[in-house]
Amino acid sequence: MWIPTVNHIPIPFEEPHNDGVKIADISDIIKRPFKIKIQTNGKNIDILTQNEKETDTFDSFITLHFEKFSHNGMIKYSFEPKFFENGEFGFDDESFPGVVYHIIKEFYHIHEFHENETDSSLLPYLSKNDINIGEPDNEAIKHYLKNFEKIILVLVNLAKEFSNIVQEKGKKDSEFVQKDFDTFFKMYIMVRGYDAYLHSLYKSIYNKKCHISNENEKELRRCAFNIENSVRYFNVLHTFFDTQIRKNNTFSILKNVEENLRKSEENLSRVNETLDNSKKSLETSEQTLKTTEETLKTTEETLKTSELTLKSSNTNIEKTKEAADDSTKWAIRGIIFSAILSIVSISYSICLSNQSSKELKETSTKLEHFFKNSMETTEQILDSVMMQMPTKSELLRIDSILRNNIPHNSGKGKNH
Amino acid sequence: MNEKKKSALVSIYKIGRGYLEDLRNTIDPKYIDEFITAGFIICGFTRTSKTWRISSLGKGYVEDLELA
Repeated sequence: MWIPTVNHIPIPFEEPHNDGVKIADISDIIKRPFKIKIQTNGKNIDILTQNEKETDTFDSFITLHFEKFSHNGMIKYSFEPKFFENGEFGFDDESFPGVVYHIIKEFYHIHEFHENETDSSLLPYLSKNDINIGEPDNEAIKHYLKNFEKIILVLVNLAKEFSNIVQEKGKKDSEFVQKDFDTFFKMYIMVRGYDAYLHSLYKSIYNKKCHISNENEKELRRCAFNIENSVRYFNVLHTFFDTQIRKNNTFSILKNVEENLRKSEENLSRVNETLDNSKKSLETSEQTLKTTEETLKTTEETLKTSELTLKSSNTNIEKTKEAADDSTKWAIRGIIFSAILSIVSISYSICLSNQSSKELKETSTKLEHFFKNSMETTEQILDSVMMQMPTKSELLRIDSILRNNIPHNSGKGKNH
Repeated sequence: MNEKKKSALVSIYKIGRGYLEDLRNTIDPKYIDEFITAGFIICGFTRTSKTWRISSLGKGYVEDLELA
């Protein structure tokens, strides 16, 4: 397994990145996630898979046992082949998930010059047979050099096609070439990055045969030629693409500059108008200020007058208060006097009533006496009548007696 | 770029992700391998199958060229 390195420095086994642990969902099917956990175990690598039932736990799947490393980034591991039943996820001498290799690289390498995921097509070298990674031109080095050749050739081809399409479309639509073609430049940076890392293998003492000058091994010579020339070609392509785009962009930029200049002139004339308006507004404001000052003076005088008025009002209020107090006092006195008069009149009335009732009582007593007397007299009369028949004169005498006994104030009483 | 390759790239862009076996039944496998090599397609796994999805580099390639 090659850990890309720019310099010949030891692989940081003691201090892996991410504390030597990474959990990742490696499925691209949203409804069927599949998490794996990869962790360093000293110099070994443990690979665990998500438990099917208890999805928060991980089961040990395989361990990569460290064997050896070289100073240009090569690490040799050994492992026992293993696959899921009826599954494609697994490890043997022909299969090693690129995504797992990609994660292991991250413990000892920082992805530069490309997005995190885009170099996961590079696969580790696998073999049933043991190899010596310290030996020149070992199979692992050849594997990586050939893989890089393949990657760079594909990228060069795609970049060339990209450039052609841009130019074709640009002929039909001049505005098309004014876009920011980020993808092309990303690809260019990727290739330059690969080239830099590849040199640690390509130019190392471990690579003696993969050179342009190797007359004996055509395949390795071709590989070297493609690696070197593809990168040079990409540089030329980049310059060409950049120049063409820039040329087209310059023309459109000039147009934009003219347009902006025209707009600036319009804005300038508007600004001048605004300036004139502002001057007028300033003059108006000065006049208004003068008027305001005069108004302020008038207001001050009015304020003074108001203060005097207020003072006199306060004085009047006090006088009115005093008058009101006096009125209240007199009113209270009047009420008290009235009350006293009322009480007196009521008392007098009561006295008169008492007197009247006394007189009434006396009268009634008198009446009672009269009636008693009358009754006695009547009885006497009746007796005398019974005894003898009264003469007319005696009747008259009785009548006069009766009349004399009737009080004058008997009023409405019945005549007996 | 020939039309078949262009069409393959556009299909990948539109589909976005899925099972690799299904993709190989839809698109010429040589183009799939090329796009995987370039980093336009990223491969993954479920427990039982190989999966794929288009990368941001792949999307950018299609969008910059206004192929889709």
